[in-house]
Amino acid sequence: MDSELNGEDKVLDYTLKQTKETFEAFVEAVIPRSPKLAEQYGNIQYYGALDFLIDEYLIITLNEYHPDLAEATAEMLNVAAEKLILRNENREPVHFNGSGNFSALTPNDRLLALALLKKYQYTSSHLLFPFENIFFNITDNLIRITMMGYYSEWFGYGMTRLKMPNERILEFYPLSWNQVGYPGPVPGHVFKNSQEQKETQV
Amino acid sequence: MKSDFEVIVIGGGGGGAVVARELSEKGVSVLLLEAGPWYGNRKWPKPNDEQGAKSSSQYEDLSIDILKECFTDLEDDMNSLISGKFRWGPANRNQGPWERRVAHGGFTWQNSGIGGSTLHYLGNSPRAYPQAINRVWPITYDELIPYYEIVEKKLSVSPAPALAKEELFYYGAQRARWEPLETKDIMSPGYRAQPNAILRRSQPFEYTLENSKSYEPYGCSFRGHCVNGCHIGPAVEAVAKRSTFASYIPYALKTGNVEVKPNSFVIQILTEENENKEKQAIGVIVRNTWTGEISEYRADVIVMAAGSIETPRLWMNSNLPENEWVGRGLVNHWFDCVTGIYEEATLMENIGKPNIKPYVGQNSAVRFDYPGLGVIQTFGCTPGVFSSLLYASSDKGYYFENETNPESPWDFEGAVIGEQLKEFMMNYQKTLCVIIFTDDEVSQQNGIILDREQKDENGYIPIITYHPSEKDRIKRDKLAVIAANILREAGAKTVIRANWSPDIYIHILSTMRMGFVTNTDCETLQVKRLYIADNSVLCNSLGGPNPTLTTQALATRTSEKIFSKYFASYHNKPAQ
Repeated sequence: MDSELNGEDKVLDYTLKQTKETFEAFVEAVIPRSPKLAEQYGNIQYYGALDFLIDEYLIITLNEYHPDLAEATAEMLNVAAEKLILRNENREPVHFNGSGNFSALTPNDRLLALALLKKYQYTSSHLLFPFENIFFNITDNLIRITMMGYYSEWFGYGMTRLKMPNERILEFYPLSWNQVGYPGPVPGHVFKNSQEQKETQV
Repeated sequence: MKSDFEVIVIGGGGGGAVVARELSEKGVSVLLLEAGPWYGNRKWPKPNDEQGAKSSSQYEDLSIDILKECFTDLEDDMNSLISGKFRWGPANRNQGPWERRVAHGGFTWQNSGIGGSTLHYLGNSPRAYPQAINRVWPITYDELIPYYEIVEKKLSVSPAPALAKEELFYYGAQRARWEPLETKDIMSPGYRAQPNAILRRSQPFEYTLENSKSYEPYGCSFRGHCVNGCHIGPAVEAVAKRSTFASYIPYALKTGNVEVKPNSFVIQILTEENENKEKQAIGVIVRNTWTGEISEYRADVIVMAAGSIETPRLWMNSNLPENEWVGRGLVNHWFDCVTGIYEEATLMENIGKPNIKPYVGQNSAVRFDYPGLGVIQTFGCTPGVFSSLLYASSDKGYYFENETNPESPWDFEGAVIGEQLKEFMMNYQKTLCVIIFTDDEVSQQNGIILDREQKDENGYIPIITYHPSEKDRIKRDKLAVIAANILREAGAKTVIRANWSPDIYIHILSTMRMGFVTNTDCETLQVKRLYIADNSVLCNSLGGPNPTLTTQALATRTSEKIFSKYFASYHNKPAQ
C-alpha cells in the first residue's frame, strides 16, 4: 500500500509532524487495521484507514474547508486528550510517544476524548478555548468525513488524490469497495444491451 | 427606473424553477438567479472549472452529454460536503464552501446549482398529511389538492417499483401487521410504494407526448445513484429522476420568456415606498460568484426561493422590516436511522435472494406513514454516504458507551466505529436501512439568526439552532421502535439505532411561515410585490412527509396568485 502512492506526498510538505500523527491516530481509531477480522474473513479485511491514507483525506478536506483548519483541529484533539487524561477518564493506559497526547491514547480512549469535547460544549466553552469557532462545525463531522473518505472512491484517485477536486482522475477502484462488496458504478449505459440491464437489476 | 424583467426569481431549486416555468408559460418575462452552477448546459461546458457564459435562455443550450460528464457516479466527487459538486458553495471548487454555523457538530445538506437540492434528492413526492394542514395552516388541504395534482402530473409521480431491499421491507411490514396504503391522502398508518418523481422505463411523460421522433430508451435503470445525481436519459428533459433542472427548467426555456443566470448570488433585496406608503420590492443586487462583479436588476415582482436558510438570511441581510417570525419556527423532521443486518439464509427464506444490495435500485422506494408520528422510509445507496449516515451520526455517543439489554428493540445504539464498523460494513450487501422523519413541532426558539460579527462575501453568516421538544422525542422514539420491529419481522439478526443529533439539517422547513411572514398567497406581509416559494413558507413539518411536492404545489399556486394580481390585466396571452 505504500509504494508509488507515497512518492508524491505533498501533504507531508506542509503538515507538521504532530498534526499528521494526530490524524493518523484519529483515523486508525475510527477504521482500524484488523488482524482478527483478517483471520476470520480473509486477508482483505486487515486493511484500515491508514492503508488508504485517510489521514491525508482528512487533512486536505479540512484545509479545503478553511485554510489551516487541519492544524487547529489536531491541536484541539490534543487538548481534548490532555483533558481526558487530567480528568483520569481514560479507560486504558497512556503511552506517550512524543507525538502529542492524542496519539498516546488507545483508539477507544481517543474517541472518548472527542466525546468529552462534545459533552462539554453544552455546559462549558472554556474547555474549547481557543477553538470555539472551529469546534462549532467539526466534531461529529470528523468521523463522518473519515467514513466518507474510506468508503468512497477517494483512495482510487491514486497519484491524483491530493490534487484539486477537478483534477483528480479515478485510477482504480479502492480496496475498501472489495471489503464491503460494492462493485463500483456500472460503466456505460445499462440500455446498451438487455444482458447488462438484467445484471443491473439483479 | 424601468424594470428589466417582470419577475425575478431568486433560486433555481425545487420551488424557484416551478415559479419560473409557471409564469413564463403565462407569458411573463422572468429572470431566474441561481447561486450555484448549471450542470448540463453548453454555455458551461466545465461548470466547476471555468466561469463560462453569463446567462442562458435557449432550450437548445441544454446538453445531456455535458450532464453525463459532470455527474460521475462517484460519491466524494459529487457529495463531499466540502468540495463535492453538490455542496452548498460556489461552482468553483478551488474555493471553499459557503460557511454556516451549525451547533453541536451538525451539518446542513443542501445543494447549490440549477435544480437546487433536487439535484441530490431521492425524488420522493408524497403529499402532506391532511391532519397536519387542516385547521393548522391558514389554507385547507382541499385547497392544495388541485395543485398537488398538477405537479404530480408534470413530474409523472408514480409508485416506485420494488427490488430486493423493498421486498424485504414489505415482508417485514406485512408480518408486523401494518396495513398497505392505497391513497395519496394519508389518514391512517401503513406502508406503500414510495410515490416518486422517477420515470419508469418508457413511462409516458410530457417530453414524449410533445415530440414524435423516436427516442433511445429512457427511464430509471436502477443503478442506485439517485443521491449522486441522476443522468440517465437521452436528453436533459428526459432524465429519469425529475430534478427541476430536468423537469421544470427545460420547459421554462421553451417558452422563450426566461433568462437564467447561474453563479449569481443575490445579496440584497431592493425596496421603495409605493404611493400608499407601503414598502415594496423593486429589485435585487447580485454578486457573480466567479468574478465578484456586482449587478442590479429590477422587476415588478420578486420571488424568494433560496431555501429555508438563505431566504430569511437574505431578508435580514437586506434589512427588511423586523418580524418576529422571520427565520423562526424551523423544523427539520429530526431524522433518525435504524439499520438491520441479515443473514443469507434468512434472506433466501424470506425473499428468495441471498442479499439485498443497497446500491441497486432507487435509493428510497418504500415508505411507512403514521399521521401523528411521522415517516419511516427505506434508504440504500453507495457505501461512503451509506456508512456515514448509518454509523457516523449519533447524539448518544458511541455504541460502546450505551448498554442494551435483551428487551431493547435494538442491539446497538450510537455511532459505530472501530472494528465493529468494519464488521457491519462487511455485511453491506445484506443491510437494510430505514430513515425516520419526525412530525416535529414548530417553536419560535428554533431557526436562523445572523452572526453579526462574521460576514462572508454574501453578507452576515447564518447561525442555525434547533432544539426538539419532549413531544418530538416521544414521537421519534415510537417511530424507532416501529422501525426496529419491522426490521426484526423481516428477519434481522442485528438491529442498530443511530439516534441522530437534532443538528443534522436535510429537510429544512418553515422559517418564513405562511400566515406569519406571508399572507395566504405567499406575498410577504411587510413588503409588497415580494413572494416566497420555497420550503421556508410551509407552516409546519407537514406531519413528517418529504417536503418537495408540497413546496412545488404551493409554488404552482403562488404563480397563479402572482399572475392574477399583477399581470393578468395587461397580458394578452391567456393563462395556460
